[in-house]
Amino acid sequence: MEQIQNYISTLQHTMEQLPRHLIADVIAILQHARVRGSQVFIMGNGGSASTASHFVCDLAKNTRRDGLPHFRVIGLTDNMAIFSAYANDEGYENVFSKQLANLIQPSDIVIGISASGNSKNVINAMEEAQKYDVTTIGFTGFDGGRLGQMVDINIHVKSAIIEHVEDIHLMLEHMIVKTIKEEPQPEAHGDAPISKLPAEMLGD
Amino acid sequence: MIIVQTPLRVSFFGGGTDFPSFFMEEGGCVLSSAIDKFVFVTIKERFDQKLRIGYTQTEMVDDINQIQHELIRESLRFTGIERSVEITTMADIPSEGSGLGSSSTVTVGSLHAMYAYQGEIVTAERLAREACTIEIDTLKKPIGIQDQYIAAFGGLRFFQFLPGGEIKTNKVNISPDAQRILNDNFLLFFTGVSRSSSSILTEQKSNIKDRRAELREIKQMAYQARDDIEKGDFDAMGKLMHQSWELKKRLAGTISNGSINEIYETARRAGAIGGKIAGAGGGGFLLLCVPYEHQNRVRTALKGLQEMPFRLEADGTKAIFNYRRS
Repeated sequence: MEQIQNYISTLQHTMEQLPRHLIADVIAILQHARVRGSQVFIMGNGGSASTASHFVCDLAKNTRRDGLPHFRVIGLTDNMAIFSAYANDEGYENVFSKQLANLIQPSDIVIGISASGNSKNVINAMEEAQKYDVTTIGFTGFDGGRLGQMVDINIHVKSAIIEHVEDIHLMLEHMIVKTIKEEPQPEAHGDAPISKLPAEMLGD
Repeated sequence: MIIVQTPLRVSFFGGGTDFPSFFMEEGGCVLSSAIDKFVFVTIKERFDQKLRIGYTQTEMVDDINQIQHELIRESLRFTGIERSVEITTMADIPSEGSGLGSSSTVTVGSLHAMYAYQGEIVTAERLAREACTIEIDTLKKPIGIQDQYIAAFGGLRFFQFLPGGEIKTNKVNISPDAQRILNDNFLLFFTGVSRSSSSILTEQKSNIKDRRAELREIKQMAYQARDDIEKGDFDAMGKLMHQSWELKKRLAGTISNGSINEIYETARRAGAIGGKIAGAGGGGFLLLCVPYEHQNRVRTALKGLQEMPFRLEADGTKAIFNYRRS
């Protein structure tokens, strides 16, 4: 029981230290990308691969709204043929960067998820991305690693416990998607007064 | 004494989809712009208890229930002013049937003036919403809800009316230069026919059930037009306007008529790409999309009609003079 309690209270403590303003920045960046029609790429390994796929799914599906463009989002962990082809033929460290090289364009958003911040394939992809005028975002843990230093926005989970880092990365994904889903959207270019007339008045 | 200036509007696309009976089921959207032609509402305290209302007529009454001008009467009732004021309205256009949204402009401007008179600062959103309440709920006007919002907010805007009764709006995203070019592509002519929109709108409203397909298409065109404008493709917008007008004529038999069709065809032959009767139709102002180089030809072809030069207006309703004695 003590271990369970310990897991919960340590996780709570770590969550408290999340950089809220940076998370808000990520949300704003994603919302603008959506309106502009920019592409969002997401990647990671292991549990982070699963979070990347999950993020792609939620961002694509759960944020749809009338009158707003849908998110253009692609997971770099989701095409096993191309993933294994690059791994087999050009090295595992290149599985993300080579996929990106085909697709990336200026103004796109690249999100790398790595608990250590040192996954070589994620770092290579960020280097590839940074050849273009794009925004790079990292979800990291431990000391942030190289990824934390090289991205434009580093959402750093201050913990050296891999499970906690991965828990919180998934939570971040949900937090971001839920906020985008529920908050008044940045109407196509920023200016969004919203009004509501009583339905009973408008009924025939 | 307070003077409130409230802009009229030209509605480019989507008119008809702002009727509650349509958008409450399917959602609607409108692309429109405030223009630099205004309704001015003045309000001033009176020494005695009477109410004096000045417009094309003058009313002097003791009790608000005696006021004939229903928009002003209900705005007074709504804002709780019962006596001792003098209100006048003046406009840059003929008082009825311009197609430039003047009724709702009067309501928004009156509410604004009356709140300002009581020292209350209110948002554009509230003015628009309350104007809808007065016109649609209290007075049962067979109208949509786009005019109230554009008069209150101003600018070149895209509105979305959602089935729950929510209204979303954003400015159309173009540079000042592109906006100037857009403006330079449009001319307004007075057809010489004033008409009351109510009868046309009543017909249009009763037709909504069997005109759904057209309204859906009009809605899609509004989205398309916004994209065209944002890309700076004003010719495409003009062509779309022609299609939209052809479609709109089907919504109510009275929207167009022989003489308007003739004027429109004359303008097309002289180089207009597209156009429409502003607002509900039937008369009033004719908005034409004409490339700059063909404009003089169109003016010559329509030389019997009075042109009204105009610019798109950025501001919504605003108090331009506010001097309260108490």
